[in-house]
Amino acid sequence: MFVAADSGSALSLDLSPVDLVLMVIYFSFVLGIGFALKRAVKSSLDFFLSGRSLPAWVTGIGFISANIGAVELLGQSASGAQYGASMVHYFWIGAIPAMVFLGIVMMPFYYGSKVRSVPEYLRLRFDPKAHLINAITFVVGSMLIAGVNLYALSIVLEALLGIPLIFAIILSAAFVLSYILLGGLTSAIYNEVMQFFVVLIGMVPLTIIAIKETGGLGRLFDRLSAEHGAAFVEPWTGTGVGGSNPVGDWIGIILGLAFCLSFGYWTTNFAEVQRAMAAKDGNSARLTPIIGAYPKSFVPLITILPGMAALVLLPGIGTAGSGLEYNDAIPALMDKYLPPGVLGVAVTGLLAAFMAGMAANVSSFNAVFTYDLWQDYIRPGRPDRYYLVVGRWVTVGGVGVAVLTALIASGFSNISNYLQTLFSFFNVPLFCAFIIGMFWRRASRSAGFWGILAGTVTAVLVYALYKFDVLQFRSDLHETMWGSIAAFCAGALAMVLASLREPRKTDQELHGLVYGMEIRDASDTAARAWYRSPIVLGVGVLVLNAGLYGAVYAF
Amino acid sequence: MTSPEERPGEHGTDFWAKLFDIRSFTGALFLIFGAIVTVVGLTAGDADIRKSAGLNLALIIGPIMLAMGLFFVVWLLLKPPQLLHSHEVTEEDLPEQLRHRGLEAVPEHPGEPGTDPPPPPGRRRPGGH
Repeated sequence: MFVAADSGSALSLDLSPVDLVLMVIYFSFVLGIGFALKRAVKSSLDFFLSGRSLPAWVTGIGFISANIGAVELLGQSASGAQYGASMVHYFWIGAIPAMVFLGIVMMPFYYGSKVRSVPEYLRLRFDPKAHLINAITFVVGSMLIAGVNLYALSIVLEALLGIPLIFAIILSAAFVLSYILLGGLTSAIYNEVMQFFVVLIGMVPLTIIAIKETGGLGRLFDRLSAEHGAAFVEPWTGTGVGGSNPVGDWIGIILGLAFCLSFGYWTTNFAEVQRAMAAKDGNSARLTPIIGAYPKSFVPLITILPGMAALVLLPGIGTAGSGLEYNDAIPALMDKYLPPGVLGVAVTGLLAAFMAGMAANVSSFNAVFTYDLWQDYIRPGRPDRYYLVVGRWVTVGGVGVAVLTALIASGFSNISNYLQTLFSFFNVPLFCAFIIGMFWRRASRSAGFWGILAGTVTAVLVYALYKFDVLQFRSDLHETMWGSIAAFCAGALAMVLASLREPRKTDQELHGLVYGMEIRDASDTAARAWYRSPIVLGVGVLVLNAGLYGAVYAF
Repeated sequence: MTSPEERPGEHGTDFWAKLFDIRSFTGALFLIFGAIVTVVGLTAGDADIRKSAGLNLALIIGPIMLAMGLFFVVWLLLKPPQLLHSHEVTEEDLPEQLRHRGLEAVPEHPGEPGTDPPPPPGRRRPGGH
């Protein structure tokens, strides 16, 4: 955990007045956006889906930025220091192909069918049982993750301003609450766009200086390779079955990490898909994850790479007695190398990223709770205005629960592992239900529920067996990959068995929801310039990633 | 929640409403950040420069942020924003399978002029299907 207080880590940043001024300016802008957008929120659709009105570049940056929270900045740099270059698999073979797949293949079903949330798709494609299980696990999961983000944010605030942790938690929560309450999803997305550029301005110079101080990439890699073995700097080395690469073997990486885990996360997590649903037309929705994939390809350069450089620049990091944990890598490097002014921008970016991460959880949580639980099962048939009011109250309640879960978030040594564990329970069986539901018309009503249930139980089971030392894996990450594969297979099997016992749904019931019956709007069917074509841009980013893998080996 | 009169851009003449675009926020933020950090860079001492590997980082980042701010402002002026307008939810906004079930989606004041044509009367049907 990125903890100053309970680990005895003595990290505190040396901020000058100008840095504090920059922070205050930024956060006034955040609130200003909320107030400015308040006037544009009139219906529940405005509040939860930005009235389906945003251009692709805004939703695309929001898509990637919603994910740059505690996981990316601290977790991935910590993993970079701990596991080395292999962590790039999470991006280049994990996230990016999944985002391209979402944009090219799956988005027409989500956007064209006009469902308002990911669980709502399950309700229409399968039955209320599948819908409820997804809606409830999503609501619980988002609150846990919002708690993690809130906790990380509060730790940073505590270290910076010296205010008590509990007060820092409430202060950050109140901030997120106010701007979501005012402007809804649009407010969250606008802040994500602004935060994205600030993070970029803060992290890029940090990385450049860190590399310069270690004597260049070639020297850094040579030194780490000598100290930690070749697998530490070469992502594919030692990935044979039974090999030594800490992230795992190639089957686990390709099937577990890439296909199950990453596809599961990026294509079914409503916190992400919601950004694409807010796009103004079908083609913009499809472009959303693909536009996000381009900056995402370079995120490892500003997270994993500084984490690896920290091993050299901050001697002893991660060992007992150094006072620094792996999660401290980025803030400690900032403190050591960034001058006043630039430090303020970088720290602001860090805080903004945590805040945006939490805001993404809250803005997707309130949509699912309001539409999928309250409107569908508790109080149906009310005027739209009623659900807008409910949505605002749910936001208040959700932030309250996040404050409580922030206190739970300290059990694991690494934020990233903690979140990955959660995703492997919830997202992989879901992805299984979606992919089979979209491409196999024969999948029947109850197939979704049984697939999700069997997959989740399997994932939990594998995890429990690992924790009780019945099954052996190289690391938590390695377990997560194989647990995902097992969950996917169990889910698929359960779906097939359930479908064979039931009649299929009618074509009318499936219209817009399955392969061959997509509903595409004019923007998606008309001829368009190459730079607005999801396929051209999607293939482009895949080629870029292959090139980046090659570049790692060139050093 | 606001009354319709307060909504920006209903007539397309509200100057302030036109500024409610992400590019104006981001542009303004980076112009301010850029100006502050550039000034810090101009007054940077030797210690600050030694700290960041011999570079006067503030004097590099500051102008870059100014340029970014300028980029967003110019972009905004060249391509003025489409007004963000709120709209009532109609059944057209819902999945086909959910229409005509009386689930939701009925505007409170069907006669009120909005961005969508007023829905035909009698669309609201009791729930319980």
